[in-house]
Amino acid sequence: MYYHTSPMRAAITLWGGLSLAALFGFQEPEPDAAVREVRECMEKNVPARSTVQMVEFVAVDRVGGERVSRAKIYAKELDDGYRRMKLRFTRPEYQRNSELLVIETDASPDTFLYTPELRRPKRVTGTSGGGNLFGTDFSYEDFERWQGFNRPGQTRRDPDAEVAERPVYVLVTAPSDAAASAYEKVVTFVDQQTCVTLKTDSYEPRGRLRKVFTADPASLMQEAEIWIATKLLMRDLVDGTHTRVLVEDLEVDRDLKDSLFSVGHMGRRRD
Amino acid sequence: MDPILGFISKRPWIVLALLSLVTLGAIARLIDFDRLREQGLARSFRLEIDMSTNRLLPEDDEDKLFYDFVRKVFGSDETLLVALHAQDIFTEENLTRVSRLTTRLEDVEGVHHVVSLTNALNIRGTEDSLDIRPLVSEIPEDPEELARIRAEALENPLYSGSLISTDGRTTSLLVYFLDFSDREFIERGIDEQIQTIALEEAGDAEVWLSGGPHLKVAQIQTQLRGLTRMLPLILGVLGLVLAFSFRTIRGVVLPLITIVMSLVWSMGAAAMIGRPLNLVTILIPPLLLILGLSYSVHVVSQFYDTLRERPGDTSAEATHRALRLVWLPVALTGFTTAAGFLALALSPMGAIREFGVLSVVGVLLTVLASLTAPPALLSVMGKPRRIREVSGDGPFERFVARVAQFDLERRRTILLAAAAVFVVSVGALPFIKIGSNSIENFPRESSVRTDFEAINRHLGGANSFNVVLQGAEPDTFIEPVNLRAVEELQQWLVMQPEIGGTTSVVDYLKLINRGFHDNDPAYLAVPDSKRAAGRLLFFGSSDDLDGFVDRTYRLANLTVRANIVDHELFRGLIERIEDRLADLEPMLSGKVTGNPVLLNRLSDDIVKGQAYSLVGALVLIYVILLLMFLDYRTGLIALVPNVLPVVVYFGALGLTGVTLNFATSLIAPMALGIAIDDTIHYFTRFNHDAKRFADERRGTISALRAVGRPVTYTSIAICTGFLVLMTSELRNQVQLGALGAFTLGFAWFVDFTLTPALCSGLRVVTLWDTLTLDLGEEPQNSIPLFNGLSKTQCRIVALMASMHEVRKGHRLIREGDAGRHMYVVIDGAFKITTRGEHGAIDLGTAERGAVLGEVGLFYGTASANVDVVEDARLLRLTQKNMARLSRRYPRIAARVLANLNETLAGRLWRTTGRLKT
Repeated sequence: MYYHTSPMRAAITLWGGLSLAALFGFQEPEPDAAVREVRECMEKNVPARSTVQMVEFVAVDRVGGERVSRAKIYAKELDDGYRRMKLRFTRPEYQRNSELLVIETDASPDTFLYTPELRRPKRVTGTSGGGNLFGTDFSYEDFERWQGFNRPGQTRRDPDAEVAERPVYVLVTAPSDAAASAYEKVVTFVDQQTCVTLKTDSYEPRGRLRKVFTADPASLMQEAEIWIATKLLMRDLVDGTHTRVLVEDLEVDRDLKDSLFSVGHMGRRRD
Repeated sequence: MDPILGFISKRPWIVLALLSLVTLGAIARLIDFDRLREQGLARSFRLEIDMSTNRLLPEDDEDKLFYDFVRKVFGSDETLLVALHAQDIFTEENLTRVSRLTTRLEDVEGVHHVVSLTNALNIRGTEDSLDIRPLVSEIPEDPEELARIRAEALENPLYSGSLISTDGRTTSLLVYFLDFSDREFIERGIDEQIQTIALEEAGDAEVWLSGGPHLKVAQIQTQLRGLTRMLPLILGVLGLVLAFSFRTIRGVVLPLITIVMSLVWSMGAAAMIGRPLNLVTILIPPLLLILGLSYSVHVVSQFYDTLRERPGDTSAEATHRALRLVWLPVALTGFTTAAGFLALALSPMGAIREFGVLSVVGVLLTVLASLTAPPALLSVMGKPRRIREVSGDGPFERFVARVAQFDLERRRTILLAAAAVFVVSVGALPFIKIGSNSIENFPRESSVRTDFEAINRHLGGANSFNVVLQGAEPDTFIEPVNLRAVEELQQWLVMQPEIGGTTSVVDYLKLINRGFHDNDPAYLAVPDSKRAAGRLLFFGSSDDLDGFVDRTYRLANLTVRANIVDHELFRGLIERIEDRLADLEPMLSGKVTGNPVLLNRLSDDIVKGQAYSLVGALVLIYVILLLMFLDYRTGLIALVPNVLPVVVYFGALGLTGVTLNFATSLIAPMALGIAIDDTIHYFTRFNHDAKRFADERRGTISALRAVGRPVTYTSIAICTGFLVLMTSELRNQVQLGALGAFTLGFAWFVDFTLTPALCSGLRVVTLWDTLTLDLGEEPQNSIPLFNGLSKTQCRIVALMASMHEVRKGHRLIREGDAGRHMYVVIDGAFKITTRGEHGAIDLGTAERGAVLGEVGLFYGTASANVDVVEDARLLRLTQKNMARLSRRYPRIAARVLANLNETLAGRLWRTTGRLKT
């Protein structure tokens, strides 16, 4: 039941969990009916234009030590059909004015970083998928997957299951070489009722379950016809650490200028 | 007790069936039969082995708790290090080799990840990009490119000196593992797989392996190899000693079956408790075999003695009789040995406490097995066709008698010599070195040690530990002032000759800073502002960085690589670092930690544990002696011949330079518990013989003749057993074997010299005597001399004197004879007469309670004749006895003298009355 999907044209929900683009990839052929059923379900949670969110990350170490960071995340699909996302950090205090820009491409996304030390935005290259992102349990890959950015791979649908006593669709993605993934398999569990991803299991080579990303079903809420989970948890099972994610102040289809997502705009205060 | 003993000898099949059931139960506990079918015997033992030095550390120790906390925050420091040494690592061939090796090692099941030159991340900044990729991401053929990579690697403060030696000839691959037990690590054969892969990929480069997991596997394998060689060897040696002493097949086989069975029980009990064998408890199997033999030997030996005395007895009768005689001394000596081990449970070190408890269980089970298995088997096997006659006056006994004579004649010399040995030994105590070192435990030529030393030489230090700095509040380690304090501390550390390199969050920060500033070398520095430092660490964070700073930036971890392993030098280094940490900014505090640091600090715990267990053993054994001899002075005297070998053992440590480590610290309490057995045997026999002959000097010689042979045989068995431990490849076991044999050999020598010399002026009263001495009913009421005393006090008086049996018709006292003694009639009847002008004048009769010959006691000459008219038992009291009684039991003596005065006064009153009439 493996197949390839075509490039995603539609914007994919930021908050619906693992994106359709991540699941099906740009160069993949049309999915079969079983996978398409899940995809259509997930597309119900995709905003038509853009989103603006405040997200808090609480990275907790093995002894309970916490590092809190907050970022305002702007996301938009531009006319070229590719998604862009900008993180503007507001906390910790010393992090203000730092920005991260992610631009979707046919292969892995391009990432740009701006901090006052860099003096100008710089493209971040060569990062292996496994490195951690600003001290949380997310790797660049985890973060990009969560945000719905393209990661080529082959997807199949497994028999339905249950997560937190809720019936879920089960999709299994094997990232392709082009994805330069740290994982050999990513399993997503999509809530049949709300079409929100409730759980993502990421397996390292040799079948070791490394990370589990879960959405708290109690935090599911509907905003402008879109279902989202506002409380999420990323657990690194090998390192014994975790990161709590709290989504606040969702704005759907706000009018955002394209220039906000240009590299040259990085470091400027205006939205 | 007698019904139980009777059951064992008369229902041997039931006993053997029960023993078999228990043994099968223990085997079932010990062996997983499902695994046995699939994986063979070696892998089916349920007993786990945990060789981590962590097990040696006290569980509630502040330093250990801090170390556990540090490991939890920064991740485990248990890495295996594979080093490749070649003419130049930066050739296409060698870098390809490192890359292939990295990939293959990462493919080994159980490996978490591998860090090497070909995957360690490096940050490079250019005008437009920030490139974060491995140090050697692609292996070039071009020599110029290779030279560039070489230069880049060697100037990288994170990796130069650790991942690559400063001369570019040695590179290391750090292998991190998933979290699983030592047993799993061994069963999966991870260490072997890594060794094989490393050797296959090495080509013409040299390969060295080191690191905690590798050392642990080497330690476990060496221990298991040693055990599989030593256990049969010990059984063989003990078999030879048994063959020499018994010269019968059952004399050899029965004790060996018993100790093997006890060992199975003990290990089954250990498996049941569920505690893995550790560095110390793994010594229990050979020690139990060595120490457990004597109990069954006594039982078998007594069986033969009984049959020699009563050849007509059936085997069941002989077994029963032998058990009755032997159960108490066997149980008692078992308790004293167990007491020695029990004292080890006072040690603050968990592994030694477990050793103490498991050994106590082992010894008690061995006693139980010895009192059941050999008697039951002897009873079933029937009487031997021929019993070898043992001459009580052979060359050995004659030699022993001469030694005893010498001891008596040179008593003062022996006591002075013992005092001199004691003083010399005490004088050597300050020279005792303390400490354990897992590397130096391996033979000098072993690959474990040579690899460690090679890595130490080429990579600036293989002995890695941590300095952990703590700030007063979160974000401490993004403040430039604190980051510079870390930098200065690192600079100070690398100036120490024992330190090869350090790594900290500052090294990472500087590299990130340089990368963010287009690789400008000027930015290889701590940023000037907290904002900048925070941002750099925020965006430059990685799994590797998590090992050096916690998520709140309050804790910083410096890894330090030392090139020394010597205990004293390492301790000196730690102390210097601690002094330096005391000079840190007031907002910062620092602690030195890590596995080698905790092991080094174990020395204090070893000393504390040794003191606790020695005092504990002495107190426990003294209490047992006090209960036995009912006299504090006799207890103390009995303790002397056992304390001396222990003091000499410590003196030997001081003089030979052998360290007091976790293995050698077992010797003193263990030796105390074992040596006391011989003393008890000797004192008990001496007590018996001194009373029998009414002469302590004769008793001294006779007792040594009686116990000399068994004491010597058991000492030979134990000492040779300990000597077998010297065949071990591990140095601490060799030391344990040599020093154990030396200490117990010396204890045997003391038993033959000092113990008789001390005993010769002693009258011993044992608890057993006081419990069993028959003075008839209510002696305190029926014998006037004992008026006002308790039953036990009556027996003490009797035991300080001597009991005599006389036959009817015998003249006990002849008028006019000299004699400084008197008699108390226990039972029987006497006629008292004196010479008159017209023949004998009848002065009356004497029965139970009467005092006879009291005039002789005071005036030296008997005033009447006393004849036995009915078989009788008498208590003979001399002036010497009375003096000893006054000294040792003054209250009892005062009562007896008052009673005697009353008796004499009554007699005077009656005589006066008779004269009046």
